[in-house]
Amino acid sequence: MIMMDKVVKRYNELIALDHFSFEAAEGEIIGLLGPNGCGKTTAINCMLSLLAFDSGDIEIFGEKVHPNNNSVKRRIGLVPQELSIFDKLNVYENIDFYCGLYVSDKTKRRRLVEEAIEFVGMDRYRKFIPKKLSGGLKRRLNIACGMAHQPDLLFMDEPTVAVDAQSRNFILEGIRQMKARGKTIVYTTHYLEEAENLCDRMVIMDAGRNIAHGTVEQLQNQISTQERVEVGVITDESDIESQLEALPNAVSVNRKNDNYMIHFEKQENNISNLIKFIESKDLTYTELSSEKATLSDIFLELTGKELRD
Amino acid sequence: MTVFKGILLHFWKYKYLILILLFVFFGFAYSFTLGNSGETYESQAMDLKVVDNSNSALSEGFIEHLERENNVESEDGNSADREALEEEIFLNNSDGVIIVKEDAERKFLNNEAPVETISDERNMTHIQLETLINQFFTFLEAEYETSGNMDTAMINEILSEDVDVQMHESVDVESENNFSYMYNFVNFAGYWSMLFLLMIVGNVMAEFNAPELRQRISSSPMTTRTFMVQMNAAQIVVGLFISGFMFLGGILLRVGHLEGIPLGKMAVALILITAFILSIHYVVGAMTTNKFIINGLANFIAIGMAFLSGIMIPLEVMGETTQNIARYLPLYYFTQIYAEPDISWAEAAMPMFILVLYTVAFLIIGMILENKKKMTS
Repeated sequence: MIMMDKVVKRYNELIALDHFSFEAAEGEIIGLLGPNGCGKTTAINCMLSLLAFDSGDIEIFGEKVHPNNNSVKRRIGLVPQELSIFDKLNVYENIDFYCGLYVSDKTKRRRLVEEAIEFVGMDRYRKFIPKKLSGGLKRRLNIACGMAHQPDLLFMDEPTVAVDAQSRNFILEGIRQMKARGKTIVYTTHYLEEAENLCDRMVIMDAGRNIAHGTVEQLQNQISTQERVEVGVITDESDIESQLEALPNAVSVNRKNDNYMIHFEKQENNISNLIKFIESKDLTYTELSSEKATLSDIFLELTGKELRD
Repeated sequence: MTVFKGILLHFWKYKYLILILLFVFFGFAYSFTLGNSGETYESQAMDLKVVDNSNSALSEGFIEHLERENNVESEDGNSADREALEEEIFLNNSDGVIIVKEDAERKFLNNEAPVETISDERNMTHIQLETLINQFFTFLEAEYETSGNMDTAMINEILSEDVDVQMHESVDVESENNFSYMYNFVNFAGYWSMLFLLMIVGNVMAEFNAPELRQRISSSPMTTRTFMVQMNAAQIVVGLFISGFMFLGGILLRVGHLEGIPLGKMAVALILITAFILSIHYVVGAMTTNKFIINGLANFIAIGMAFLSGIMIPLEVMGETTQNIARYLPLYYFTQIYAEPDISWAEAAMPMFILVLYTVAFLIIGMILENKKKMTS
């Protein structure tokens, strides 16, 4: 469905996309993750032909993209990061305007607009102008404007930024419904938990490059830390850290207040090994918790920075 | 037609502002009609002080002339204190002080001023007083040139005579009045259209041209050319509607008084000025989408051009430099299209052509700026 092959986009000296490649299959939700300025929005703009790129190839629906390829554009929808709605038009008029850019038949358009209003749960607000809507409702309207014409491929650039929990859940549920209808969604977000729950696959971007991609499991396999165990032990031994580090599969140990954070490279009996170790030393543990490597760990290990850096 | 309808829908959202601006416009236009119904001249009896330093037949006759319709207090020249007299004027105790100079008769014969006046130039009575004095000495001069005498008694007798005058309004005078009113009306309509369109179109298009909205529109299958055609068509429709409304309103206000008015040329002038205003807006829109800047520029351009082009104040009363500057401004050519009641289409063609050239020039500038903006984005 989408094939981006070694795309380079430069802004003078700055390389926004550095031989960036990625693919998305029909009916999947693919997450583009990366810190601010990593090239997510540039990649989307290149796919939408809003930006010309310097080299590489982009194909969508098996056709090369260019500004005049209307047959491709007709099947694409965009939910931009910034609210792109008219302040003077009410909810219905806003959705109708954007839908009208794709659908000229009045009757069909009326039906699509009604469906979009229902989809984002804004029936009560159809006569409201954006100024009268809350931040979450404005976001929902922004989404409705992008998907009212029921595109096969939808680009959603940070659609849940600055929205309340209720609206966020509503939006995420809506995206799942779109996937269930067979739509393909390219989704960018800062919220890793959201991406983990929503996306079938993820592309981790840094400095305009695709540094890793795959499902969460596939990404987890690409890093050394597979499990993190936090343990609180009461002991006077000064070399406890090095003893913990000597446990099977342990990669590193960090002190966190009175607790120790142990990173294991494999998920194999790590807890039982740790408990055996504590008992053998006749120590008492006050706290013990285990967590699989998260997307945040993956991101940190692959890029060396937090997602919001 | 989505963009075309969308823009028209936006204009509809500004309906109250549009109505207010039209209401204010027609309010002004109607008040011009009232002011144009006739002219009234009024004079009032003035409180005058005369200091006679001459004590001659001329001064006596002159004082008699002043006393005929005014309250005159004569003062001997020897006792007059100039500072006190000036204070009289300052305190508004008197409308004017006239000092008849020593040897006034000789001064009159030598073409020197025989009298001096002290009055408040800001006051209307100042003009009345000057007229009164000039009246006496003009007649006296004519009498002296005819007979060689300075017969002030006869002058006063002539000036005291009443003559019944009946004004006969010829067709020409009426036509001239009709033209004069409509000329000012179209001038004002041109200025108002400029302010109006730059503000309303500017605000609507600022929203349409906002980068995030344009991005979304650009990602749709609508081509740039279709977008531009629909956008410009919507602006032209609104522009013509506003100008047409003003023009027809002007005709309605003057029904029965339309003789001698080059209505066709005025209509063309309003169409051309609308096109010109939209071309200015194109340049402004290519420079910024900031509504505050657009509103500021709208006022600056509209008022500045209207003032310098003779729309607000007739160019004739302005200095030569201003008149020369005006000849480089498009609004000057707008007024030249219908400058005379009997202007022919051939005569109007040149200012029309120049106005079209200005429009084309601004469109080209707008396109250059638009392309530059695209290249840097």
